[in-house]
Amino acid sequence: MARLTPEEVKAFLIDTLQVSGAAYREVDNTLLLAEVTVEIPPLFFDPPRLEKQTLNLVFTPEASANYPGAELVIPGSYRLNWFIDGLQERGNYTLQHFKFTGAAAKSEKALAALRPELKKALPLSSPAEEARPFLLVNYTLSFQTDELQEELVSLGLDMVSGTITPDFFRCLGEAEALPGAPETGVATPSYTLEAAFALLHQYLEELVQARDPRWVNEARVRYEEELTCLYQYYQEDQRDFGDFHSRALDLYDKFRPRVLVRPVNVGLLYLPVLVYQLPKEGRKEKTVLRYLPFLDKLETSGEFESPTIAKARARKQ
Amino acid sequence: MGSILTTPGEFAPQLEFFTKPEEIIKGIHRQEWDSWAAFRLRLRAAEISLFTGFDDELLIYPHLRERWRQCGLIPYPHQEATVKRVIGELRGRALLADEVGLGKTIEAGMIIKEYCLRGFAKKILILTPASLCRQWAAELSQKFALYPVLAKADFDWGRYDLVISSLDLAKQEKHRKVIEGLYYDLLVVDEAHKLKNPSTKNWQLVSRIRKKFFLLLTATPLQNDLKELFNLISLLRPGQLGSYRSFRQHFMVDKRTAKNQEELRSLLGRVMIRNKRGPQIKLPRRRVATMPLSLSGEETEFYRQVTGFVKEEYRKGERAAVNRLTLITLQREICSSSFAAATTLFQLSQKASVAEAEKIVTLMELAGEVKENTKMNLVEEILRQTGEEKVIIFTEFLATQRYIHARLKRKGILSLTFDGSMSASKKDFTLGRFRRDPAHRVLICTESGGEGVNLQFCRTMINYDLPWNPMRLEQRIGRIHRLGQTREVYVYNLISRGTIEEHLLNLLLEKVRLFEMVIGDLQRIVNYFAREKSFEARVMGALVAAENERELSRNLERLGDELLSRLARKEEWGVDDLIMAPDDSDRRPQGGGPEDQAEDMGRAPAATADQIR
Repeated sequence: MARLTPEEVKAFLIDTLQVSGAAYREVDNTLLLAEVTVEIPPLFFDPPRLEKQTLNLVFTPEASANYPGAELVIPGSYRLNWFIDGLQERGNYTLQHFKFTGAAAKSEKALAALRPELKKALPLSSPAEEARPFLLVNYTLSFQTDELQEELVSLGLDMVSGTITPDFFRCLGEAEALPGAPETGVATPSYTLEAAFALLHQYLEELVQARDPRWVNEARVRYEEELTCLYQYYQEDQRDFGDFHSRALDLYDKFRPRVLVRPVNVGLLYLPVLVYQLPKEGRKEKTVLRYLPFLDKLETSGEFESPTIAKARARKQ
Repeated sequence: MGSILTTPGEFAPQLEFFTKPEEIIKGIHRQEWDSWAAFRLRLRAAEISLFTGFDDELLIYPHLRERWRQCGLIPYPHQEATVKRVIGELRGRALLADEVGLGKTIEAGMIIKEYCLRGFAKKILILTPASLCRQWAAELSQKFALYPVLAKADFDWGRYDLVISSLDLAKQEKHRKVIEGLYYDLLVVDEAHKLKNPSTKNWQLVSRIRKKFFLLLTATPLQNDLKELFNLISLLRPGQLGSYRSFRQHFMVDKRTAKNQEELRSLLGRVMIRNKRGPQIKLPRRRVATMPLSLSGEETEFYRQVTGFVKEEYRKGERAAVNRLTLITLQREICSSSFAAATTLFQLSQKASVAEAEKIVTLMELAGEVKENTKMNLVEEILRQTGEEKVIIFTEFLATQRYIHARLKRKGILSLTFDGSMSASKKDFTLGRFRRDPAHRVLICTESGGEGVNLQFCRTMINYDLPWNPMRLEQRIGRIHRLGQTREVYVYNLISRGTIEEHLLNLLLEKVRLFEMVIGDLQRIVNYFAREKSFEARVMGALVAAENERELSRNLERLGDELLSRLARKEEWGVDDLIMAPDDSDRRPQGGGPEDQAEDMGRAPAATADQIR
């Protein structure tokens, strides 16, 4: 379990209480009172009975001493896990769109950073804004041998280009999400959901292959040590080979590396794309620049020639 | 990385997708969208729950802190160290061989819970003797918030993830087949000393169960035979000690003598953990009082006559009409109560020839003349002086148990009986009642009933009769003198003057200083006597060879000398010799015994209940 400070635990609980609509009160910096609804197991009541309970929660052992009877909520505690378990039913799917709220100058600065040759063309005319669909899937990857290591992977698949952006959720930062899809200017996706998931799975396969192989190699060494030990027991006494074989298989099952992939939640998100059109130059077609501010990414369609290159070409002619 | 045992392909990581894309897509099509805040929080929850590798911190501590505070459980440092070592260094496969009363079950519970919290174990099977199933279930639910199912039907095995069963049930054909078809993340076997013989169904069942992690629990991993130890360790990790042939060649002089002990110790240390009482693991003081009493005229005569009969038959050797084991039992019974002896005498009379039967009937008539047992008068006196305190009375014999129960009832003292013939639920009910009902302040317990039972809520014990095997005496005391006991423990040994009991106690108490010993030394005594004859048989031999009390005293004195010299020479090994390094002095058995372990108040020949309080 991740290491959390008492403040982080408290913030998580308050967020959870807010999302679930439960009443709560911060008595002081250390004590939190929360009124929650608890389900009495169907084992006793069918259907399960719901009951209101008031929880007195503290977050440090010192506070626990000041408030006898209050429940200490720390990483790994029953109560924190209770809140986490309660969230299993929430936030599994979401549909949101985002707006670009920055100033024109800001986006132009970013464009210039991405493509320095654009600097001469600045300032650009006002961009059009379109919304591009992304499929965001957050996964837990459990790397299992006889040991376990878990990671969270957040992948965003551009449903138009098929490009996958790792650590996608972090790209969104604290931006304001607006519920639902935008009403206009939505780019048409080129990928179906089935195809999108196939791409994501392929990406995950590659991600695992590219991982530092020590976790596999070390498990293999341990497995071979066990297998050798097992063999010593059976070889001299010529015991039942079938027995040896089945035990060896069990060992293999214990040590073989596998990666269990669990989706945490899925979002259909529409991210803003700023579409700049550069004027036609000579025989060149109009150049269209598509800037994705949340991903800080630039796409070009048509041919764009930097002014320096254009001047050089004119001189030559 | 090259290897002859595995190919890279065999160890290529395989991705297993927990949810199929179709199911996720279905979820999307349902359009049950949640808010962005809920979405972010869900991700945050997943992030918090991530398992980021084995570190030094156990998850059970924060998880169960509140529960343990409520139920008053404070794990001891040796228990925490054991859990960390099993999960870390030993990788979930260990023989937990702590001495009696040091909390093996708590350690196992902590390991089970830790594995559950880490997501390593879901399907778990616990095999115990039938009498301990409910105790295990209660411990796991109360102290670890784990809610096991006690297996009954054959579909229980597959249906439930956490199952407790007796070995006897699990090895039944219809259950065994189902169990062998399953794969367990964790298998725990309590009282694992019953798994020392690979030709038994118990051993074969446990060996065949497919499991990832595996715990064996026993306080006596090694008793008489190194082969038994080999079998136990091979069950845990086949090959740890090589094949039996190589083990015999390399580590055995004979079946009871080891060689290359350093190497063997090192191999055992990789799978076995044994915590012992000592300066680091202290229990409250133990006060032991010998309560000598004089038998009535009828009792003395009955004792004298029965002992004469036993000696006479014993000396006949193979020509005797009664086998030696029965004679030893009869001699032990006569020290317990006339009622216990009368039961055996009656059974003997049914099988005896006419001449023999006449003798036996005469003895039975003498038994009939004993109307009251003097020991009970002392029991009543102790009970009077101990006030409201809960008291456990131990006896070896059912007939004595019934007599004590009846006598107490007559006195208006409510008592409960507890013995091996009771069903698990009745045992559970009886213990619960004894614990909670202030009206029932006495539990009369037989040896078999008391095995493995935790009674540390009680601190007073009366040994109505004295088991001849010193380990048994220690095991009795271990029921109340164990981790979790917070008060001084009082043990009263009732001894009839002029009987073998008195001489035996003198031997154990005065000469061998039994109550100051640690269990490792006791085990060595038992091991030593297992070479030739049992300790009981040697005591009996001393009795039979003696014409009078003086001779008996001298014979037992010699037996004591023999014992002490063997102990001093450390020729007799015990499990501790094999798993503890010679310089591990603070953990090794200490002849003098730590002061807090025992305080013998029985050396004054006429200790009374008043002196004890």
